[in-house]
Amino acid sequence: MLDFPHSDRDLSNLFCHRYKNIIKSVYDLCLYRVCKPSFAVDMKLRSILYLSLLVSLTSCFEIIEEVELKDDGSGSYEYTLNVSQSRTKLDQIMRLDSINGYKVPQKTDLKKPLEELIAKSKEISGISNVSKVEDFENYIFSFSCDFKDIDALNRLVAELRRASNDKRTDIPEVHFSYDASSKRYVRNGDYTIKADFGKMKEADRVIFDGATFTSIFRSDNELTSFSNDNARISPNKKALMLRMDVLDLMHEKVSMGNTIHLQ
Amino acid sequence: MRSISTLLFALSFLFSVSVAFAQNGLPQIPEDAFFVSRISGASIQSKMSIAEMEGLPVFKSMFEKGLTKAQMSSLADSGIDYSADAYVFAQKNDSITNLCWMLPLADLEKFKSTILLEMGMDAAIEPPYTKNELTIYWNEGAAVFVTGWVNDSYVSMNVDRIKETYEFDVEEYEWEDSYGLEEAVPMPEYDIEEETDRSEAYREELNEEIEAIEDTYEEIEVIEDDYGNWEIVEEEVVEDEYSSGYEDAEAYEEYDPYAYDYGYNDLSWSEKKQLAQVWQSQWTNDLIETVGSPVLLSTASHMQVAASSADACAYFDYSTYMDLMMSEVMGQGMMPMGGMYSSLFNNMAGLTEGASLFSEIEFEEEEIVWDMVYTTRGKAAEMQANMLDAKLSKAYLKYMNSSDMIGFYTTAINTEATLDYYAEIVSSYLGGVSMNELAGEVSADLISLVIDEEAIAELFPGSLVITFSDLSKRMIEYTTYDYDENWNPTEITREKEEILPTFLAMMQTERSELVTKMLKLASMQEEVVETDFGFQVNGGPFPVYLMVKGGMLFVGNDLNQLNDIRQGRFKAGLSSDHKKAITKNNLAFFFDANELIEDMELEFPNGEMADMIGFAKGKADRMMITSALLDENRSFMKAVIDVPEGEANGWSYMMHMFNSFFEMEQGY
Repeated sequence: MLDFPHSDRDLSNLFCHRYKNIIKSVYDLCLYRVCKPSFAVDMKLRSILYLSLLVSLTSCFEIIEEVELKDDGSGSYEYTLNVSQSRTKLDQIMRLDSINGYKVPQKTDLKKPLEELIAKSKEISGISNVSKVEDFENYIFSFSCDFKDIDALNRLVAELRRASNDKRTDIPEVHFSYDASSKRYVRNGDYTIKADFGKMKEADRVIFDGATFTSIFRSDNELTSFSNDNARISPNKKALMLRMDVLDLMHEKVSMGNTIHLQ
Repeated sequence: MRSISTLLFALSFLFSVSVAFAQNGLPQIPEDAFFVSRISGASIQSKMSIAEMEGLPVFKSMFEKGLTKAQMSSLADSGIDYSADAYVFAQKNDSITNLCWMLPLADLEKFKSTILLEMGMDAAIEPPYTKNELTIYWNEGAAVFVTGWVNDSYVSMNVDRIKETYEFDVEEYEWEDSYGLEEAVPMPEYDIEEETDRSEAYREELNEEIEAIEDTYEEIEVIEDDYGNWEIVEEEVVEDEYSSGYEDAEAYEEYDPYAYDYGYNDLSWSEKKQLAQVWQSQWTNDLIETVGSPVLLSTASHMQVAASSADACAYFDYSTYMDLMMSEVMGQGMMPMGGMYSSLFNNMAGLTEGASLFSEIEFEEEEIVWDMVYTTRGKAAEMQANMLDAKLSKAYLKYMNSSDMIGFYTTAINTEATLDYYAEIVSSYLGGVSMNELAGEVSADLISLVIDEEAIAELFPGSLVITFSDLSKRMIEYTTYDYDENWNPTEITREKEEILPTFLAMMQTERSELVTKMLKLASMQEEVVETDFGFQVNGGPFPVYLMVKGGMLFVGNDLNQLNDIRQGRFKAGLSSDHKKAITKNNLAFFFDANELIEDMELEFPNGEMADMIGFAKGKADRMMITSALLDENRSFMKAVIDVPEGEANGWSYMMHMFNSFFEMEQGY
């Protein structure tokens, strides 16, 4: 169980703002593509991108989520946000003080919250070996950890949501599940983001043009079946890749959900 | 109400430039109106018929869904005479500023059964009729809509008297509450000396120290040491009015500890609205007494509006407008700040005394032409004439080619004259801020000592040209992933093509060697890097090059272009209209939207951006803005927008654009 000796307000003071800032920063950085979009980064949109950090939603950018599951239900998780394709535009933005009324964060502004995020993750029971990669030259950011059981990942998401004061009730509590007896792994894809995406201004939606989301699942055991038609299995049958356009995901034309049976 | 507002806006849009003849039913426009505009209905109708406009979805939608009480299937059902002229004017007096629309009517009964009905007025109501901040008058020939807003300065100086004279509704003022006044209440007069004493007392009260607002709370800070151990530190934090009491930084950003509560010596928003209703209705009563007057416009300035043959024209008395601004600023509590802003505006108002703007729009077949002439007097005229006493050197033309350019911006001012006046303006400002004229004079002299206007004018005489050429392509590298057969990713580097707008900025100088030395100094600071042809900005998302040649500083991002200039291979060639715009004016701005859109299609071939480009394609063409001195008192600005192919004329183009935006908004 996670031990929180502090009040919600303290957590809020400590993380909410900074976590919101990092999401907002990365979100803003990702979203700026053409001259002068006017966009409002509200909490729902931040939540979308916040979720993307963990559930791999995230021209322009690539999000890669890798889950490796061992026979005993433990495993490793890695999430990567690669905005390298927009590197030149991001370089331009980073030279500004502000854009569209929002202060442009400097590298130091981004590093500290990332470190705090890592620290927070270390506290969650069942999560270990937490590490990060920050490449501010190519704008590639990565988070990885080991988990003792798949529920630990759900606890990680829940805690990060709590820390960022995300009170949305339409986001499921369980993003990953694994039933050792039936050897069934489920990646939840039940996220209602179409409505929120529809509320975005057109100029902001274009940011997602060309963005991709890739989910890779690996197991010690061979995969016997999977439910998502868009997934492709490796020749050794121990890995599954699901690659989608983020726009299709936003329009709910495709889903990241997948039920995988293992041998 | 939104529907009627939309309808009125659309109708005003149709009539937005109007004339000054005395038409039946219209009252006379007051002599002291500071803004008068006329729309020539007949001229507009000749550009696009009513039937054609009604066919546009924006109007159809208004008829079908926009009205809640009235039934309209055509614009003619409104009863308005679209072939006659309509007016808009604004007039200011000490207490209230009024804005008035005057629409000619063809059929009063239709007007009553549509517009008035939609506004909630049944046929039994007699004019003039006041509902909240709008007063409406109508007769067989015209409908007059008046809205007004009280001048804050007047209110703040007379608030006690106003409160004694009027009984305000304490409830929140709603549109449905008011059904007109039975009797107009006269505007109060005031004694200037008494008001001055009142203001002094008010100022003293405001100068009292603001009582501190305090709050305390416990803040818990968590500190982590190098070993990952957490330490909790508790401390008591005392907040005052200068520190944030907000956890949410966004709310804090909105919080203004220096915001002044004007409620103490002011009326509430609701009270001001009620007061405006009273005063504006009385003003309207006076106005409609002039209905039937043989002339509509009685001053020489206003008669320009009558004499113009343009589709739309307007006269704006800038001097009166600045008076209004100044009094509003003073009324909003600036007087207690030692009169800083009042002095500033006094001086600014001095520069705008007697100034006016006259503007005409013509919706021609091939272009929309918008002319503005700014007239000024006295010191301002002298300043304007001297600062704009400059023309762009023809040397710039050697580095411009019309066929390559998407756009350009050129400007030519007299640097020496500008800096001379700069000292004067700073002196006025500082003198006002410090309320010490001597301080202002000393500031001006010190500035003049420090700034050598002549030397600076040699360094940069005051001309600048920036050109934007076709978007150029460049390859950039980025990191992505390759996957083996078992989906193990490997980082790889790929290239992609990016479009970059090519720009070239040029600035003439008579001190080339000084400019070069400044750049060398910058290279020592590693801000720029010296190269074989000049300099390059250090770092940055894309390369920017600098070069000094032939008395000109060049800054650009296309090395090939700069090399051509350096080696004398640049192929210059300006079209006659570009050349004329650049050489004959102090300012010229040109932009070819069509050219830009075609280039952007390459960058965004699909996706939602492509849809936006598709929307814009064919809807925009070239635009040219020029500005120059006309004579010692007048300057002009002219904007010419080309009408895209397929459009009959400028008016038709504007209406179709209006409709396109409506359709895009509605998701058609």
